[in-house]
Amino acid sequence: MSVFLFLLREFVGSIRARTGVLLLCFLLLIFSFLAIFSCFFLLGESKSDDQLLIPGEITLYLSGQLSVQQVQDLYLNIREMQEVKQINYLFRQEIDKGLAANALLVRAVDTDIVPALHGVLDQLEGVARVESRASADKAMVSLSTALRIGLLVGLAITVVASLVLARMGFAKLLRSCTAKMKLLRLSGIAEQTIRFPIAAMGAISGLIATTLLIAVIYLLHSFAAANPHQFFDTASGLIDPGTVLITSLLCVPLGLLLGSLGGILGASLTESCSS
Amino acid sequence: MIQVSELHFSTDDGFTVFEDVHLHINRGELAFLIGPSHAGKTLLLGLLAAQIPSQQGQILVCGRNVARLHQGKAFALRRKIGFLPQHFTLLPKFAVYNITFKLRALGTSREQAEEQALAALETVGLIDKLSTLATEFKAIDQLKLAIAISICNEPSLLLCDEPLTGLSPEEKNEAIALLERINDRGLTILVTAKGPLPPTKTSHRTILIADGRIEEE
Repeated sequence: MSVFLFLLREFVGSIRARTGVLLLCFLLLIFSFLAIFSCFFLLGESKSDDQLLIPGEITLYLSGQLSVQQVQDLYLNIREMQEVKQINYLFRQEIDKGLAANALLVRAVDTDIVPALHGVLDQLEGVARVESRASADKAMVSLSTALRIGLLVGLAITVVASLVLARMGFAKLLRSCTAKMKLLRLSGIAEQTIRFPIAAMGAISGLIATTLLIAVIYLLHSFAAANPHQFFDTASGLIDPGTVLITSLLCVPLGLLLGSLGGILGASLTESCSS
Repeated sequence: MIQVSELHFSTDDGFTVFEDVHLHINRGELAFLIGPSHAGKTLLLGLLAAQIPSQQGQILVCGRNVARLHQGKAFALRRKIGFLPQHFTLLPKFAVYNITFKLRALGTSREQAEEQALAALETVGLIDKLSTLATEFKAIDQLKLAIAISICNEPSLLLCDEPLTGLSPEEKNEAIALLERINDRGLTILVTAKGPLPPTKTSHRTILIADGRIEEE
């Protein structure tokens, strides 16, 4: 263990400006990869919620700051509308969306007037958000298809770019350590012993990138939890603590894996770059 | 310490470097292997140090059959051998760091490594230059430092590949005197050289290597 730590410290100490920039870029690309991966869970609207709605139904998510009397007035006001066939009050436990407020479920007299009614209800005071089947479907298709393709392309690019940068960075580092490597080999140090700290440097880069990303996710989560209405349509996953936790936990092995891959790629260069 | 029997070695293009070579070096002996360029001196040292896989014949070093050693044991054997290559590279740091680096990499604690490094520098006569950058040393001092690095972990055998090349006659004498001093402590040393050795006070065993064969002088 002491040999491993000694060699790790020696290799880290041999990092110079240009090598440092390359390895920093490698770390940032792992961060970007994880950030893109997290977007799959944290961005967009929840598909399961939309499927709860049936055509002609509109859900009004109420502001958590409304008093009981204000909710009652709003309920009566909507019930009086001619376009409304039926209205039901939903407790937040029934909605199961991790929200702090309750909702009203409105059924229109005709499915054709749902978009118009959606617009009218959206303007009412005390309504945080309005969802209807038609609008939700439209949003999901246009947003998720394009976004998911973009995210997948981003994932592929960051993986390839991070591995390329890892190879460049570690090759440069090993070239600067040629004399040390020769001395190590002459001393009877096994090639595996030399490679292990290099691979570990990659894994450590992955862990640092993961830690940074988790910190950023939790910062955004705390902001989103304080201002949920701003994130309903764009990043609903950020509001839910469970989704944030699962995403963070999934990022740990992924960051470690990508970092280790970069490190192993660098470790495979020990003989070619330093002989 | 070294027992080579029926050693044969050919290059990939069929050139025979060694043909039925026999060599015996006793424990505590200082021997010089003299031969022209491309005679196979470096190759023989590489074979003895388990750095080059042997093809045919038996090579016993420190009681181990080098030809049959698997990788793990080969590394263990290399730790028992101080190997000084012809074109050695020193780290561009203080003399003492060059030695402690090797010792720390071998698992020696920091305190013990520093202690052993000072002892090695004292042996080669560089104790007053321990805080001098290795790159600022003269050729003879660089050689002394390289020897100090090779012997710092107290190996059983020291193999030196043409250490006298590039030195002035005075420096060659100084280097041989240093090797004699180290040999007096009981370390077996095999040194290769191209030309004849400068005259010294004590006579040494000289082995000639040429045309794939080895002969005693």
